[in-house]
Amino acid sequence: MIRIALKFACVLSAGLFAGQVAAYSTKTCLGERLKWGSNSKQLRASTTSFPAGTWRNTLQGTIDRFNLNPSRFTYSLGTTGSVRRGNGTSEVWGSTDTGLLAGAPARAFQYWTCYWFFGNHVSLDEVDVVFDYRSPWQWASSEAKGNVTGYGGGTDGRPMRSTGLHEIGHGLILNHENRWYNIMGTDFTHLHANGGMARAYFGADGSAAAVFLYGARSPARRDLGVVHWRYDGTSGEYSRHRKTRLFNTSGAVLASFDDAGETRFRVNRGQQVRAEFTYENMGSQAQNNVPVGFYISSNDLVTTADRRIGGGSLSISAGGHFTAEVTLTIPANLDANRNYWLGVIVDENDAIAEVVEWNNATYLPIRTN
Amino acid sequence: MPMAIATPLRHRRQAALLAGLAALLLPATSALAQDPEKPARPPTLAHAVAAADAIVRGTVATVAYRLSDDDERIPHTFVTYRIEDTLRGRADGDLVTLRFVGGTDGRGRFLSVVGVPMFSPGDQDILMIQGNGTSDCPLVDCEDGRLRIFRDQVYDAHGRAVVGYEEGRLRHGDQVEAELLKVRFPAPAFDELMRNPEVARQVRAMGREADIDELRRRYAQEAPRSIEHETGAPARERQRNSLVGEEGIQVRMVEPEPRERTAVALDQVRRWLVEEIRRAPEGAAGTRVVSVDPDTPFKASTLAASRPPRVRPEVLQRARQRGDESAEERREREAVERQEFNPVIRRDDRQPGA
Repeated sequence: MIRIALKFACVLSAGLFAGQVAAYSTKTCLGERLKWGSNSKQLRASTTSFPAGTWRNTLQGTIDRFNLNPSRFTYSLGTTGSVRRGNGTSEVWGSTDTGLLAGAPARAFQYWTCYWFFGNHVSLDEVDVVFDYRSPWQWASSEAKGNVTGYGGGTDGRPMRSTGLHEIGHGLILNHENRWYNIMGTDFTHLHANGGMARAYFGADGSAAAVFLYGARSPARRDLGVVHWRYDGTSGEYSRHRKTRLFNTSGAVLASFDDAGETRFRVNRGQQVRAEFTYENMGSQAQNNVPVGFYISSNDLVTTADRRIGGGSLSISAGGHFTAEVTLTIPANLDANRNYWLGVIVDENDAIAEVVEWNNATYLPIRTN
Repeated sequence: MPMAIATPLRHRRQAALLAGLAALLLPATSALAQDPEKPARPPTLAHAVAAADAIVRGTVATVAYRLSDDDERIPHTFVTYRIEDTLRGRADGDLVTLRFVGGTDGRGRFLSVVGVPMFSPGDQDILMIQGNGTSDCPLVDCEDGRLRIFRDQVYDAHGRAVVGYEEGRLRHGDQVEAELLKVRFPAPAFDELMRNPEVARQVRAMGREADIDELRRRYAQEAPRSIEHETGAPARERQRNSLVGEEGIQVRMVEPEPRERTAVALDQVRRWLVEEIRRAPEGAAGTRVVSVDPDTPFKASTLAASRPPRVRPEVLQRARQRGDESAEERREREAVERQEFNPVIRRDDRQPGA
């Protein structure tokens, strides 16, 4: 286990600088980019598959979440009583038919025009998204952690919002991506958690792609975030993500146990540990010298009301994302044999006016020996 | 298509038995794969061998496009391979024609379905064929059942280099072969293009100047012979990120281990496949692959709207459910909820917790 962790954690520098490249990819035809002709698109939800109530609200919540991105592009949601591929209208529905859905939780059908007639004519015309409403897919409408896989929701709590965000990413003609932590990889492990919620979000890489395609909104949107998920290699064309970890100073992953779906690390009081988190900039501007604080909390809600044990300063490009380990000391005066949460807060002085503030803190569960 | 975290197998009894054995041996089963702490992994070659009706290497001889014979008129692609090597199962002859959903209507309109590959004449591939004529994507796990061959080296369906073979799975590197990201469709014939309502409007807008014969002549001279569609087009930009700790706090930036860049040789991948086929239990041999005829009318798979699943009762936060949230924690939570979950509590001098 230790050997594997070290193999993957290629240490570049101690507290200084790392270079990365944005990873999103798109499609072209006749050399021209496939994209919508305007900065907004209405998706129509089938009233059969998304009747008024929980599922419609979940889909609307997905679109609202997407619309927090820093680009000029937004989706809106309408409804329709009948759906059909190729009718010129972009629709969303769920189906229990076999057909193409076999093996996939959802599919996106992209209709586009591309021909030469005394000049190039290239346009994106329609994107239909079809969710698989059959077993084994068990959709979670709620983002309360107890409903979500990886947080106590068992193995059947796939968040509809995370898959929905992935699919409407295909609606931007974004391809699958396996080089970094991102929503166009394994979407159901691309979540933000703090307190009782595990929320789906579009992420830094998707946001950068939206800005690349449609330009940045004015005034610019700012949005930093930190999550306890990390890139863990590829699964075919998808990035694979796992929870971040807690190490000792030798680089060994600390012993842990499953605590109602979450990994809880065993620590000694007074022990130096290395806490791993992934930092993201989902805004359209670089952010420099942003205060970051590390905390010990008695619950899974990390706030500045908790006990601060250290800090740092974050600088990150627009669309940037990276994972880092920070050396911290577990306070010696914590109670023995008790659960705590080692937390992190970015923009801990709340100096940056962000479009989303709830994604500024997250945690690693710990238990003192 | 989001990542599949479960893969139903074909119903052939032998294949199911073999795949079941493979699943017992390797941790890629659906139940485990749904647990984020045991993330899903691509199917093993043993799985592919078990599920495939046939495994062949071939070159795309022709690509034809047809619309389904129903109200939806869904574009489909009929791709005919010249088979050069049969590793498992058997085909009707030297040629096999497979049908995939997606393609063009021949009038400048296209359908691409995420996860379903596209083809150009001359493409060289290893194919793990499954369900031709009944499945909308007759390959094992759809595009995962296609391995591209370029200059005698092997890549996945997205042009990413296959660099090794570990724990029964092909391993992919960083290198993307740009040539494999391109798909070339035949340019529409002039008379077909005239049936595109959008083009017809353009012609009408030309008014009396629109001499159809002259336009046809110029189109023949000036139009590109093919419509090139690039499926990757990665956009790359440098990032400059840093995290600097306060005094005494060290920070280590973590990046994925650089992966090998050079694709392995075709002969090597063939040896891995042959080895997996050799290991397959007796009686689990592949079956005969029947070509589909592009000129026989067919219907598209239906995808009718269905009612949603039952809404599961929401499970609230465990602490609140158990009632073991302290008064301080409750105040902290309520303060955060009042400010849209911003974790920076401005007017609070309480120190709940440690």
